[in-house]
Amino acid sequence: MHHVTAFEHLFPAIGIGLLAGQQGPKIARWVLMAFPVGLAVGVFMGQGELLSTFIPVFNKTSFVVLGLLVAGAIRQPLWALVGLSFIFGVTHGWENGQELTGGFTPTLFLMGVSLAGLMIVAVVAAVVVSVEKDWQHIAIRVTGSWIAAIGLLFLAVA
Amino acid sequence: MNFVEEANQMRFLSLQLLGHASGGVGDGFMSGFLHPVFGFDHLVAMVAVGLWGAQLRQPAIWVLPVTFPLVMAFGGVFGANGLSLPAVEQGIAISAVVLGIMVAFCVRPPFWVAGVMVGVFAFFHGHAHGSELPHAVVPLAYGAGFVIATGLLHLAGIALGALIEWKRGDYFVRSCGVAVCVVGLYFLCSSLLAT
Repeated sequence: MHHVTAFEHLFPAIGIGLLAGQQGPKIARWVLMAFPVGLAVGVFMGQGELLSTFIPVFNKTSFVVLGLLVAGAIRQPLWALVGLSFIFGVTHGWENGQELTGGFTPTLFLMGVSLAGLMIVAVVAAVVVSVEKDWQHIAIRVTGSWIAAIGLLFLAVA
Repeated sequence: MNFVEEANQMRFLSLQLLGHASGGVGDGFMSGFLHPVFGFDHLVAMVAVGLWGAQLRQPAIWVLPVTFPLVMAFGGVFGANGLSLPAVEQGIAISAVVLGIMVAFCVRPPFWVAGVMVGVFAFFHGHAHGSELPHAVVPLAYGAGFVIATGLLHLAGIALGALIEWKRGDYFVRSCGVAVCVVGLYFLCSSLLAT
């Protein structure tokens, strides 16, 4: 539930779903694998103290990067989008992993975070892929600008 | 269990489900969301942006809602970091006056002129919202709230602006512009008298 209720993880996941959907189903399918795998790797790594100051700032920046890419409706090559999704998955999973406390079973927590990420990206990408009308494409770009704007504000108070 | 008891139990359960978010994220989001909605000067100006975008048609009708949040966020960054902007309240009020006039008279300047005007107004509005950010319970949620509320107000303006396709609808939209201008003048006078 953490990935769903924590805005700092939810919005970038939505951004990845929007971006993947904009690229079309062929590329979106690869993102559906890359992002959850990245999350799992990140949760596993996050239980240590590696790059503890860099990762949170990088995650805040992910809002802006993903939001601008969606707002600009910029076409991405497959390798770039999969790489971006995996890297952001790792960094967001890392922050999730940092919050793993004694009350949780690590394996189940890892599976939960990965599954939540998969579901968010899958649902959002599926909706985006299915849109046909021009105003719906504009609404997707507007949503991207919102994510980027929220990210800028998030960086401001970081 | 009767209906009232069941309704109370459902309400209790929903509050429990929100428990992970409420008291912090939920309150922060609602506070940010309601800031432009209950701030009448913000509300009318944001709806006017949507109305004017609809009057300007392509590409303004989609460029404005895409770029406005981003420029507003830059203003918010300034406000959140305590960087002062002179006459913020007056600037917001003037934005409502000017946008109201643009809508009332269906003024169609060159696209870049409209973009610069709206960009300047977005910066002022963002500064006002951003100034509240450091005091928010959960700043991220507060920021998300006011960005989304602003975007939805634009969309409401664009939806209303679709009425310009009909003659009476066009008169209605222009009347909305007059109303926005009047509200802006009220806030401008209030802020000048207060200083």
